Amino acid sequence: MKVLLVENEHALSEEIVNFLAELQYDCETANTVKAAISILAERYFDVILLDLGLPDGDGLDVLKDIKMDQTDSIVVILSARGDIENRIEGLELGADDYLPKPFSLAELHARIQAIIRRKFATNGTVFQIGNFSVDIVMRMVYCKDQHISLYRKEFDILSYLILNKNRPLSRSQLYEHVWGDLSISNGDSNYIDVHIKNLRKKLTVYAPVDWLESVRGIGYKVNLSR
Amino acid sequence: MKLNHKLNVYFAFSKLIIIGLFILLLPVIFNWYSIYTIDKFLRLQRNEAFQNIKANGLDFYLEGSEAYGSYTMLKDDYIAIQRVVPDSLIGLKEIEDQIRIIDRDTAEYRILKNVFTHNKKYYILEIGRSRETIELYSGLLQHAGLVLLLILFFITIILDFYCSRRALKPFWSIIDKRLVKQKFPFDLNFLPIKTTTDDFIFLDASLKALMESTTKAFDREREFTANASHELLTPISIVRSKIENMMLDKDLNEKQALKLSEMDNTLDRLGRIVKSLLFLARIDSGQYKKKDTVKLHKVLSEIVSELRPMLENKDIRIHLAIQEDLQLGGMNQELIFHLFYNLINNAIRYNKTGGSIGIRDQYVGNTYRITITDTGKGIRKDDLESIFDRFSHHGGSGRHGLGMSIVKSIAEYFDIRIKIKSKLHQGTTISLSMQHHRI
Repeated sequence: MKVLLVENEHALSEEIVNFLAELQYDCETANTVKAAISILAERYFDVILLDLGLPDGDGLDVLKDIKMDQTDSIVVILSARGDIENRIEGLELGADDYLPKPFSLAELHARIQAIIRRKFATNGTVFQIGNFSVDIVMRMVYCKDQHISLYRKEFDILSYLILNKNRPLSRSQLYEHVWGDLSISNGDSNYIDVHIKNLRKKLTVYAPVDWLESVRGIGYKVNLSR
Repeated sequence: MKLNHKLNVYFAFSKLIIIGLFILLLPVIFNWYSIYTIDKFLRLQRNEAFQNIKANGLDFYLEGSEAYGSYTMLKDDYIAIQRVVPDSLIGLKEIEDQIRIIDRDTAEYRILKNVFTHNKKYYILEIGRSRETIELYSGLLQHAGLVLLLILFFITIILDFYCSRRALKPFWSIIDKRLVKQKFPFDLNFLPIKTTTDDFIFLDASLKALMESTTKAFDREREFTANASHELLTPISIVRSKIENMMLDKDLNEKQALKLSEMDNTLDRLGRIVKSLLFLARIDSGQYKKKDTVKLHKVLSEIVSELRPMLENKDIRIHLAIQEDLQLGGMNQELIFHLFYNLINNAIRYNKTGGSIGIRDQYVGNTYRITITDTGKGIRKDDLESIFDRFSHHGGSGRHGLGMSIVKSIAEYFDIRIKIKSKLHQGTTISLSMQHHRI
């Protein structure tokens, strides 16, 4: 999966590239509108991560350019401006998602995956964990063909953990994922724990859930043997 | 009262004063005028009489006697010639009003007297005209004048009405186009209203200038929040990504991981404070559009269902009694969700295990009121006053103290009045009131 990251903060782009490379994404970077447009003129990228505040112009100009030439590319806007108008404008111009800074890298990964699933309806959206199968697209959890009903937020937490399997996610990462913009409201630190407790309770009825691990002092993780 | 109508009332009033004054003066003026014309007429009659006397000789009229008299059939006019002794002529006025008895009828006459001599004898010529006739003329003139005046009065009133309406048309157009139909953000690409009235040109230009300066201030504020947002959030984003990548390092020992996690939590808190402050700045500077129609029951049900696990965790019963078909216009879905999410979240968080929450609505006149009542630990009286202040701390720890400020800002943004009543260890009731007509 080829990714172009258009971001002028070097320190940030380095971290994003490191993180995505670990997840087998093939990353390139551009730090200006000009550089981005010239790279895009030569090559195709599956995913374009676009910062809006670039030194030589607005990231939205790059977006307009992409939407003319590379209509298939997935575009995720990464912005710290948080301007509502900007967000609406970006989505109207054809961006697939808008991720406000400071975002979690795990969230970025989850969003990209979600767009890929939505756009290309790829296979492999059903994960096998222990005795359970979790269908990310249909938002269903089964145990030996038996459907288990979960609350929406419970499913969000479970699928987010599965997408970032074998890595611990902090409570704040999980909270931010399930509440998005609302996460600025003073969330209950207990909130995630309550949901995990309920998840375990609901799933243990069918089979053991030892794969859902608590990581002391950090949060939770899903262990999934590769 | 409309300006046009007011002006017309003023015009009519001033005209009525003038007409009233005129009506008061009318009898005097007409009396004077009719007497003036009568006197003129009497003098003409006199000249004619003397010509006749000259032509026919006085004896033709006197026929040997000392006096001569003639009157018309209805005794409107009379003429008399009489011999007089000069002594009786002292103090004689040329024209005066006197009573005469003619053929047994007594009437008041306006009489012209003229003394002349004939054959060294003194004679007096009297020409009289009945006062009654004079008054009749005067009355007739007065009536005709009054009727004419009233007709003219009504014509000018109608003219005034149409002229002032025409003159004020640009004014209404300015009010309509600049104030009524404009909603923020303003559309500044407009042409000046067509008018030749300088005052309206000035008004139009002033309003345009005002709108431009407001728009400028708004743009500056928006630019500032966008820039501040960028400058504050980018460093946080960098550090956050670095910590996140470090956490993925397989060589990390548990102690280091714990430290990193703590750093991440602190950073998360900082990020939330910054985002909350920026959120507040955006609400306060009016950057959210008020164009959504919100189904309150749906929003509240959604929030309750999202928070269901938290309710179950504390075994809290919730009672939602809100009109199902109620819709509120001119709202912003996102902000309204935030508002109620914050309040309900607090009602759960500060509630006791096994407690309850009630969400109800009612109309008080045209005021629509929603109350959220919990059975929580309540808020101390001293803290109630500062509950909406930014960064005020009471109750739980770990809060950034901006949640209620956000609630307050959103409420104010939509003209919703918010009131809190609380009893320690018994619970808190928050009421939100807004102007809304019952459907």
